[in-house]
Amino acid sequence: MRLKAVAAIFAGLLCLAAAADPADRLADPAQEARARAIFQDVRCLVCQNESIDDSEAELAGDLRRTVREQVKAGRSDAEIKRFLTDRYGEFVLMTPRFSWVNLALWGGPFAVVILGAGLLLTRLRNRTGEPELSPEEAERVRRLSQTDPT
Amino acid sequence: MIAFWVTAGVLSAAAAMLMLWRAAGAAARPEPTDVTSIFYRRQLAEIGDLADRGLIEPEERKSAEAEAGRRLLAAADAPVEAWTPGVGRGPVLAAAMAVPALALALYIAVGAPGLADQPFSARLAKWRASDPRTLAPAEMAAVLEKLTSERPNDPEGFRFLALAEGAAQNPAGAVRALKHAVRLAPERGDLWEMLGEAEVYTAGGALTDDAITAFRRTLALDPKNIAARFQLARAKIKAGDREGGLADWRALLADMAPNDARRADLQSAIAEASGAPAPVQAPPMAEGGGAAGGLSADQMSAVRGMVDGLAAKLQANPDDQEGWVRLVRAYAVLGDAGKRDAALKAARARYAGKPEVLDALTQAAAAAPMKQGQ
Amino acid sequence: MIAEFGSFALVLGLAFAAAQFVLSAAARLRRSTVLAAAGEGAAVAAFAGVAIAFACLIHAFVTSDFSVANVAANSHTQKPLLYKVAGTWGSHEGSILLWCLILTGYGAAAATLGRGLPRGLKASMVATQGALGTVFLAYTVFASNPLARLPLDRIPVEGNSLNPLLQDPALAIHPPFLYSGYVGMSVVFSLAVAALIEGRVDAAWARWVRPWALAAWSLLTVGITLGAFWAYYELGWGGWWFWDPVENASFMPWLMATALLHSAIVTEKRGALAGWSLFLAIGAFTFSMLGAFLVRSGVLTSVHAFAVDPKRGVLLLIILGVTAGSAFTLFAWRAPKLSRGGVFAPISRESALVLNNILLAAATMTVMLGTLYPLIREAMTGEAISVGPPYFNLTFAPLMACLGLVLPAGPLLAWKRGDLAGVAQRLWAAALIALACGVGAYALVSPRKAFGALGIALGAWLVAGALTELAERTRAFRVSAGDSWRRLTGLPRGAWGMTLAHLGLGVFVLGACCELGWRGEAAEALPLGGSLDVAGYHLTLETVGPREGKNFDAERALIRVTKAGREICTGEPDRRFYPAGGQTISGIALCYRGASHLYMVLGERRTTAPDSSGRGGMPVWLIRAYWNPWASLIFLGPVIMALGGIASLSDRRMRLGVGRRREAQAAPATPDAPPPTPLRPGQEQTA
Repeated sequence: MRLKAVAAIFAGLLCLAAAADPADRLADPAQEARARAIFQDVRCLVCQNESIDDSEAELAGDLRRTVREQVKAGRSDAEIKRFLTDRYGEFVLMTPRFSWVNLALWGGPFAVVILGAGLLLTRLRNRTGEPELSPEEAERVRRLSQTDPT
Repeated sequence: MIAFWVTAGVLSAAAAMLMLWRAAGAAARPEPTDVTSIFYRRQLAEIGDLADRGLIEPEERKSAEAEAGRRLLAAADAPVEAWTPGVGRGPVLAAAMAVPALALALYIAVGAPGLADQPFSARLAKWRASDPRTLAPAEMAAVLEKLTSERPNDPEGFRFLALAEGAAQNPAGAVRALKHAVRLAPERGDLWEMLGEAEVYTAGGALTDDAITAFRRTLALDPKNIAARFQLARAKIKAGDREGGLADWRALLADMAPNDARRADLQSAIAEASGAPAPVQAPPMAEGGGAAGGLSADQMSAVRGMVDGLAAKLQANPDDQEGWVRLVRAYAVLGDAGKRDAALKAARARYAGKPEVLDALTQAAAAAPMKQGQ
Repeated sequence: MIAEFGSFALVLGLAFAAAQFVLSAAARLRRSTVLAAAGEGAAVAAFAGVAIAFACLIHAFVTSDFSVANVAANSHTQKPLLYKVAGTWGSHEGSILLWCLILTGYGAAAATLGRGLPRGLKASMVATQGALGTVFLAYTVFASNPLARLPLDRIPVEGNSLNPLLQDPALAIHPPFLYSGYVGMSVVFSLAVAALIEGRVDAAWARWVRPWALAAWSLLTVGITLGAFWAYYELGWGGWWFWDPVENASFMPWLMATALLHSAIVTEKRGALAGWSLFLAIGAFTFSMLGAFLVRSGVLTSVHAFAVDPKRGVLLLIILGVTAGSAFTLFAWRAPKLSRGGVFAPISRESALVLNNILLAAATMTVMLGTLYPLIREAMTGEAISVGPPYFNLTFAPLMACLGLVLPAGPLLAWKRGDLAGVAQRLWAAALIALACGVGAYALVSPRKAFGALGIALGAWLVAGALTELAERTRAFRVSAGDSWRRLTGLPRGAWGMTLAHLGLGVFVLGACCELGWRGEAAEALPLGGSLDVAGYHLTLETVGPREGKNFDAERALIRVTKAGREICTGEPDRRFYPAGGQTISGIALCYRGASHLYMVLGERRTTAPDSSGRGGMPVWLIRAYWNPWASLIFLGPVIMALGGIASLSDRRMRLGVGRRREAQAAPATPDAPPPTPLRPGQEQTA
C-alpha cells in the first residue's frame, strides 16, 4: 500500500490499474476471456504471491499487455505460457509443471492416500479375533463391572 | 515512584499468596478418581445391551467382550502411584519468595524504573501552556489541531494549522486543514491559493485536478494572483497549449513588480518552455519545495527498488521506448545524474532514428530533481 | 507509571511461568501433591501477570502514550478508539503478547479445571504448559518487549499509525479468535506430551483431549472465517480465499484439528488409533506455531503478512523447531510402546473415520506442500517455482470431494461392523435430492457450468445427508410426530454438534461452488450518470462526493442498482485516503440479494482525453462490480460448523466430573443407564 503513495510521485513510472481496466481490454470478448483466464495463471513477479489478474503493480500491467497482444495475435495458451516461461522461468506460472522435480509436490498428497489405505487394509486383513477370556479373567471382569468405583 | 513500587509489591505478594494458598489446600483435596475403568465398564455394558437386542452375533460378542474386558483388566492392573505431600512448607515458601525476587531482577534489567507515563493529552496540555516559539513544528501542529477542533468554524485556525503541518513535513495534513478552511471561507482567495500550492507540493510538483480547481477558484476571487496565474499557465503548457501558456507567462512577467524575487524563476521557466537551453538551477516556485514531500527513507528505497527493477527489465528486454523514457525521468527525479546520462546515452543510440522518442528522452532528462533528505 | 507497572507484571508473569514448570516437573518426579498444587497456583499467577501487562498495554494505546515504542510505531492520536485498542495486537510485539496471554490463560484453565485427571498426567501437562509459557514469555521480554520505552527526548509528537487495511471491525477481532484457536492446541499438545511421558493413551485420555480440541477448533473456525470475510470485503478483489501462505498456514492446523476430533472418537470408543491421535495432537500445535510465525519470519511472502520482522521471526522459528522437534522425538521414542486397539471390519464406523483421517491428512499434506514446496525447491535446485490456486484446485479439491462423498455414510455406520446395504437404503433419498439439484443446476442455470453443478450436487448431498442422519436418530416419518419431537429434544448435544458441523460443511460447499461457478464481473470507467450491467443488474453512478472520516478523507460514490427497471438498492463504495500513512484504500459496498451479494468497488478517478470538438477533461471513475451468488453461505457454513463445535462442547458428557458422579450413582443398579428406547446400531452416542 505504501507503494501507492509513492505512485503519486512517480505518476509516469507507475500506472495503477487492475486487470479489468476497460482501457486495456481487448475488443473481442472471447479473446478477452481467454486473456483473463491466462492472467490467473501468471504470477506478478514483483508482488507478494498475486496473479497478474489481481495485481495493480506496473509489472503486472506490462505482463497483461504482453499476454493480450499475444492473444490478439492468435497464439495458443500453451505458446503464450511457453513464451513467458522462456523469458521469466518457471516461477512466472502459478501452476507448477508436471515434471520429475515436482514429483513430490504433485504425488505427495496421493502418496499419503495410498499409504494410509494400505495401512488400513493390512490392519483389516491381519485382524484376528480377540481370544476369549479365560474363566479367571471373566470372573475378574464380572467383579470389576459390579463394584462401585467411587 | 513510591506508588509504583508499592503496587508492584502488592501484585507480587498477591501472586505469591495465590501459589501458597493453592499449595496449602493440596492436602485437603481428594485423590482424583481414575475414570478409565468407568469407560471400559460402560463399553462392556453397551456390548451386552446390543447383543441382548440381537444386533451382535454371539461370536462377535465374545470377541468384543474379550477386547473390552482385557482393557478393563489392564486399567485395573495398572500400578497406582502413591502421591504424598512430599515436601513441607519450606520449599514452597522459598519458591514464593524467589519468584518475585527473580521478577524484580529481570525488571531492573529490562524496564525503565521511574519513567512516568507520557499520555498524549498531558503532553498536549504542556505544549499549549508553553511559549509557541519554543515548540517544534509538529508540536505546534498538534496544538493547532486541538485548537481547531475546539473552534471548528474559524478558517484562520485551519490556516495556521496548515502552515504548521507544512513546516512539520506533513503536506497531506496541510491539504486536509486547508480543505476545511476553504469550506469555511470559500470567499478567501489566499486560502485557495495555499490549497493549490499544498496540493502541488503533495503531488510532488504535478498539477492534479484538485490543484487546478483550487487555482481557478483563486483566480476567480483574485484575478491578479501571481501563483495561480503561473500554475494555470503551466497547466496549459502541460495540456499541450504551449503557445497559450507561454503567452500567459509573459503577460504575468509584465505584470510583476520589477523587484519581485520570483521574476528570475519565471524567466528561466519561460526560457525552458520556449526551448532555450534548460537552466540548471532549482525548478520554479512552488515546485521548488522538493518533490520528495513526505518521502521517508524506506519509501525512498522502495522507489529506488522499482527504478532498479525497471532498469533490469530494460536490460533484459531493451525494446521498450516508453520504458527508457520512464527510466531516464526516474533517474533525473532521483537526482542521479550519472545513471541518468548513461541511460540517456543508451536510449539515444537505440532510438537514433526516431525524433519523437529523442524529444521525449530529452524532456525526461530535464525533469527536476527532488530534494534529498528532510 | 502504568506502562512501567505493565512491564513489571510481564516479567512477573515470566517468573511465575518458569516456577510453574519447575514446581510441576519436581512434583511429577517426587510425586508430591503440595508441589503439584503450587505449580497450578503458579500457572494462575502467570496468567494474572500477563493479563495485567496486556491491560497496561491497551491503556498505553488508548491514551496514545508514545513513550512506549510499540505505541509510537503502531498508533496515532486521530485513530478511532476501536482501532486504538485493536492496535494492541496489530503489531508484532503486541500480537506475541496476545499469544502469551492466551497461552497462559489456557494454562491456568487447564490447571484449575482438570480435576479429574490422574495426578501424574496433570503434573506433566501443567509442566509442559509452563515450559511453553516460559519460552514464549522469555522471547517476549527479551526479544520483542511490547512495553519497551523510548527515552524522553526521543518521544515522537505523533505516532506512525496502523496500516489502514487493518482498521476494520472484522480484523480488529480476528486475531483474538485466531490466536485462541491456535493456542488452544497447546493444551492438546501438552496433554499428548504428558501422555507420552506417562506412557498411557487410552479412552480416558481421548476424552480429556476432546473438549480442548473442540474449543480450539471452534475458535479457529471462527477466526479463519473472519479472516476470509475480511479479505472478501477489504481487499476489494471480490475473492475470499487466495491459497495465500497466510491463509494456508491457518488452514493446516484446522485440518489437523479436524482429523484429531475424529480420530479421538475412535481412540475413545475402541482404543484404536492412539498413536495416530497423539501424532495429530502434537502436529496440530506445531502447525499452529507454524501458522503464527512462518509468515512473520519473512521466509514466505504474502499479500496479508503484517508485522514481518525477519530477524526475530527466525528466532521464533527456532523456538518452534525445538518445541516441535522435542515433542516428536518423544513421540518416536515412546509411541511404539503404546498398546494397539481393537479390530474392526472394513465396513464400520471406525473404517469411515480412518478414511476421513487419511483424506484429511492428505489434504493437510497438499496445503503444506503447496506452501513450503517452493522453498524446498529453491533451496535444493536454486530454481524458483510458484504454487498457486490452480495446484490446490487440482489436488485439494478432489480430495475434499471424496471426503464429501463418503461423509454422509459415516455417521450411519455401526461400530465394529456396519451394514452398507442398510446405509444405502437410508441414504437413497439424500442421493436423489443431490442428483436432482445437480442436474437441475446444470440444465436450468445459465450460463451452463458443469463444475458449479457438481458442486451444488455435492453440497446438497452433504446437507441432505446430515438431515437424513438427524431423521434417523429421531425416526422421523416412521413414528408419530410427537414421538419424533421427543426424540429430537432428547438428543444429546454431542449429536447435535456433529449434525451441525456436517450440515455447515454442506452449506459452505453450496456457497463456495455457486460463487466460484457463477460469479459475474464487470468494470467500466463511468462518468456521472453512466452505467454498467452485471448479472442482469443495472448499476448507475449517481453522484460522487467527498466524505470525511475521523482519520481519513474519502471520495464516496452513490450507485443506484436497478433490475428490469425496478429499483433494488443503492451502494456507497468509497475510496479512502489516510493522510497519517499516506495510503489509499478502497471501501467496498455490498448489496445483499438473498444469500447473494452485489459487490461494488470505487476505483481511481480519471479524466477523459479531449475529443475532436475540444471538449473533454470530464472526470470518470473506474467502477468494478461483481455478482457473487450465494456468497453469504460461504461464511454462514463455517459459522454453523463452529456452532456445532460449541454444541458438542456443552454436552454434559464432556464434563468428566459430572459424568463420573452420575455414573457412580447409576453403577450399582445398571452399569450404564440404557437409553429409553432401543437404538439402531448407527445411533449410539457419537460425542
